[in-house]
Amino acid sequence: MVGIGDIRTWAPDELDAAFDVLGSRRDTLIGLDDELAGARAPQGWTGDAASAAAAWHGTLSERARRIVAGISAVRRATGETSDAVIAIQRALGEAEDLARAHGFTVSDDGTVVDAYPPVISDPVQAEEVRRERARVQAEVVDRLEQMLRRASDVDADFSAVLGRAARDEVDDGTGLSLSEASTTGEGAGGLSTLGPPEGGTPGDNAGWWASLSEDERQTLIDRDPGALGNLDGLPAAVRDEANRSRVDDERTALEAERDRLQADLDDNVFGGTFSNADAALEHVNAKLASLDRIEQTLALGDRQLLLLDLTGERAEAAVAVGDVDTADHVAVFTPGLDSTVNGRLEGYDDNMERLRQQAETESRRYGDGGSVAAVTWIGYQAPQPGLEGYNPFDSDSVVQDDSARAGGADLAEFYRGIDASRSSDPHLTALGHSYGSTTTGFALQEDTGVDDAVVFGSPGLGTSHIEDIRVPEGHTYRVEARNDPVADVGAFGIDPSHVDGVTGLSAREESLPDGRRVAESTGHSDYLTEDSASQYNMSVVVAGLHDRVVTDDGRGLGDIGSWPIPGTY
Amino acid sequence: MAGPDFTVIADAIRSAAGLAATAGEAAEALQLGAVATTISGALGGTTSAAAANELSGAWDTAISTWSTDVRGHAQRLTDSAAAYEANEGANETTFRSTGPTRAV
Repeated sequence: MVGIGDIRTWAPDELDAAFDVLGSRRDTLIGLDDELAGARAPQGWTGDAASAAAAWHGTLSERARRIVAGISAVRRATGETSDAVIAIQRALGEAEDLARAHGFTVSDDGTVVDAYPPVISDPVQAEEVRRERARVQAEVVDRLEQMLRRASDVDADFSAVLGRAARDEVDDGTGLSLSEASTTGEGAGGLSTLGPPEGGTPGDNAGWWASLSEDERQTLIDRDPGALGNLDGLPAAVRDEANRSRVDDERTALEAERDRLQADLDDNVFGGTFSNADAALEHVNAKLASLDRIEQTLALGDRQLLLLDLTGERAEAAVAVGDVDTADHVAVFTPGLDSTVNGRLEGYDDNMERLRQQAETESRRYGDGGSVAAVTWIGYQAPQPGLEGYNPFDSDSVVQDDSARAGGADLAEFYRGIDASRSSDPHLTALGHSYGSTTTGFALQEDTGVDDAVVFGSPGLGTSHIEDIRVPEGHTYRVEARNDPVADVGAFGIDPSHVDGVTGLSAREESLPDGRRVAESTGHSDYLTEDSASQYNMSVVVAGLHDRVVTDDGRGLGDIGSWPIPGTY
Repeated sequence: MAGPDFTVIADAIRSAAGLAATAGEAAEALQLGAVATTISGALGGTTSAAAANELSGAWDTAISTWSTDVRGHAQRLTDSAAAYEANEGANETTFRSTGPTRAV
């Protein structure tokens, strides 16, 4: 079993040197091709001695070919092992850097030691720091596990090649020349590429990806993009490249399915009356329309396709505007009821583009001038209008929290994946609207690395207690506009307007300290309107400019009705 | 005609012997085992390191044996060339001394 202490001592430069020497030795032997061919028994020489000489020459030639084949196999394996070792040591270095930045060290036996625990007197802050450090420690452990899995895999592959060469088991093919034997042997020296961990956490995925060489990464992107595009913890650029490359194939498959379903319906005199073919066809057509919307959105430029999943009833996707890999501030917006890729992506993406611009403007004016990326995350089966959507007994209903819980679990992984995919964590803000705020609330009941959260038009956070929301104290905000009845229903936990510790932000017309005026937004669906107080407030939170928010409790008549009775929640 | 055919063949056998000797000497200088030892040293604590050590010995043996065998082959070719030449020369002498009377 390979250990971390061993990996630290591995010397890829020596492997590179061996690779070069083996190339030289192989070339020397191949250069003897002419001598070996000329050493055979000459034509015209007959008799027992000539026959014996010819046979022995054949044996010697075959032995030479096998030696050359072995050298070429080992040479290739050595080169690939060197590349892998560089990647493995890089992965180890990344895990060590992450550990060090949070006061941990990684010992030779793989233990992550809490070497410098912070001393914090405030109990609330101490608990937040403890949870954050526990999250980071778990990520370091996951990264190390994957790095070791990769190291063991490389070791097994390389030792197998070395063993075959030692036992003279490397096939030299059917050619007669040493050059041909070399080519055949080289083909036997390749190392396998380790696939992603099954059901891996973002830390697992990040650790696995870090342990691959550049060649292996590109091979995986080219050959199996479907395995990469939705893996939380991989760099956004990789997910984007992988997902974009899938669009054409997904479209082709959906078109074939559409044609098949249509043919079934055409052939059946009862149409879809006694089958689900008509409903299935509707879903397939919606997915095809979703691909159209995705491509149209990507065509706007400066976009990243971070999620593409067509396996559910409706398409799921996440599109970022900006570069999630490098942005100083990243916002993830989760919409609610009626959110579909085909119906809503373009509008939400436009909202995120404008929010991003506003946040960068505010950052330039009053902050660090940092860059911003904003993600529209439609990564769950959000409830839809219609009979199912409002049926209180349907688990996909907007009055049930099943979709929000399931979506929240995936969303939490998505948040964690953003931090895990980068060498430095961005300032991460969670934005949730309507039922999407409930999804966001469930996600934030896990440790995610989210630094700020803004819910707007929220029917509840999935809890009535701010202690359950694992965002730093004082960094959970809500916005409630006038005439937004959804924000008062308190269907999933009490009305957030009454949750102590959630800061109310204004959606009213306001004058900002620098003299600018921002407009009021009313109702349930205008929180992201450009130049509104609501959008402004979100932009300054996204930019990390907490002292520039305009607060307002946002309470109206509806909040009187939703006032919880103490002791009942 | 430059000479009898058996002389040409004997020269060809000697040439083959020379080439075999050259190949054997070149191979002997390869020191493949040392390269495998380098690999072993670069990957401490692995099964690959142990396998590379095993390979080091196997390669040294394989190269050494092959080189020895090729040079042995060269020597046998040289010996065969001499024997062939002697044998064919004797045959020719015998043939000339006992051959048919030249036609007048």
